Amino acid sequence: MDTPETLVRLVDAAIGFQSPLLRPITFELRRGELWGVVGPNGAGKTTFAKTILGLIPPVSGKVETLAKGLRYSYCPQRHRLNPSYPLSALDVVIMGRSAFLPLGRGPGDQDRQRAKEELGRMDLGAQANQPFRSLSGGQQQRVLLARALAVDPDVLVLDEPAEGMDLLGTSDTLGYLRRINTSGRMAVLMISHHLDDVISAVDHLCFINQHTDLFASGATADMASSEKLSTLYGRQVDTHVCAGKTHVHVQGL
Amino acid sequence: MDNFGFWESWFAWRDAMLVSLLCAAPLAYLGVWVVLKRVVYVPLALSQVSSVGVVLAYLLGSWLGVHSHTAYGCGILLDPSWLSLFAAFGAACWFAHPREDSLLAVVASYLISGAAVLILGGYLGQEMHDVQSVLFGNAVLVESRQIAYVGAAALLVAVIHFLFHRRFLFVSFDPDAAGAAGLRPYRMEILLYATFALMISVATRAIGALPAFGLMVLPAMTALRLARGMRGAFIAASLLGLFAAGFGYYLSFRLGYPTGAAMVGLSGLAYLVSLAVRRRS
Repeated sequence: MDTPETLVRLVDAAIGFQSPLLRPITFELRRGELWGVVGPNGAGKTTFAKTILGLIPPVSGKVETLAKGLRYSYCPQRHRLNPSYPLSALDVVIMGRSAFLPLGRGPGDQDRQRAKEELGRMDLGAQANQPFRSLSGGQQQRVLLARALAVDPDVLVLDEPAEGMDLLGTSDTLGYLRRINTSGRMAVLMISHHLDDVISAVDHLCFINQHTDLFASGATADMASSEKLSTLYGRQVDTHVCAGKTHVHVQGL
Repeated sequence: MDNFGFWESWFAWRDAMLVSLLCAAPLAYLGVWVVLKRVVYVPLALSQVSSVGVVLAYLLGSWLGVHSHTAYGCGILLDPSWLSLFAAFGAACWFAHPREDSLLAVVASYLISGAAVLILGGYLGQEMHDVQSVLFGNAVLVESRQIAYVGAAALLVAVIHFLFHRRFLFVSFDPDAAGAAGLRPYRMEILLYATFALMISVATRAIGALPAFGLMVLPAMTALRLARGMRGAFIAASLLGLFAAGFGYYLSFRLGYPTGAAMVGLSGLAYLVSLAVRRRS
């Protein structure tokens, strides 16, 4: 079996802004992989993701892009956006594609069609022309996911993609990400606090905790153990498998 | 003065009206960005910083014995318009840099520049009267070269925004996603802020500080309450700006109001009316 193509590699990279958050780390992101990035609040997950995207340069070490013409896409947490812009859901999705258009050229029919397709996949076809700011939190998050996918990225980074979504929305979104990833055309890195869901959805896990200088990565089957999760969170975390799905709970709750 | 008198004396107000309209549309258009980005203090500070450039031009001219209006070669750089633009562009680059205390940086620039104008102006003596007229413009008396300056600035702003509109939008709405897509958010922000600096600096010299700031902010605030989409907001703001400048000038001519105040008053009235209309979602 061929080894998947490596797209991005961190080599002895000290992630952080001006000062390193962790000891230098080495990490590879390959096409077709679906990664979950987990850790406590303020652990450095978003900094790690932004380093992969090239938005924050490492303090030391390097980020190597190993394939030419890679297309990156980022789906932020919706509450980081300014809600006052009078944009429709379709405008927001098309915005992603407009970054790749020549200067002075607006989106064409193909761009609109592609944006509508992704909105339809997110079950938001009927809301395409509704103002983005009038949508619910979960709907807004799905619009941002549609925007990220509408550019057909090679590397997709999602920061809490299920934030604000209800049970079905979360399940559908993670299921959709898993389905599109089986095509093997992109690498996905997903930050999430929904451990139960993310462990079920991803094939690789990355643990980060700057407070304990912890960085570990590997296959989900190896990483999602009670012992490793307890080390990550600094509390006893138990796991058990029910109907093929791993469930996580913290002792004392 | 009756209505016939207004049209009969078109030669007296033609240039001033033209400059006001040339300022109003691009100012109001840019104002939509300013209001959406919640940086309404930036034009005020840019205007004040550019004033330092004007005072410096007069001071240097005085010390070097070069009069800006007659200077050639390197001396042309002592033209108040150029130095004020350089100062405003420098401030625009600084304001565009993402930082947590960006509002404080803008307020500090405004206050320090205001103090610098007063202190440096003290060295100018009699010339300070000339400087005051350059600093705060006059929507009634317009020099012919002001038409060229304002027209060139409006054209440049139109070209830049035609080319970069979608990139400005992406970077303003979601800088991280825009950066991931390969855009350079900081460079885009500098370019956007530079258009603010250019237009507010030129407009302040041409029509005065109050109408320049008022025409930038008030029509945009009104348009954003009434319009449904971005395109509608830009069009509505530009039309409201043109209306306020044109009709404000007419009212000032007919009723003897101060011109800049009439323009801002009309813009404010339109905003108050819009408050009574239910905001579009």
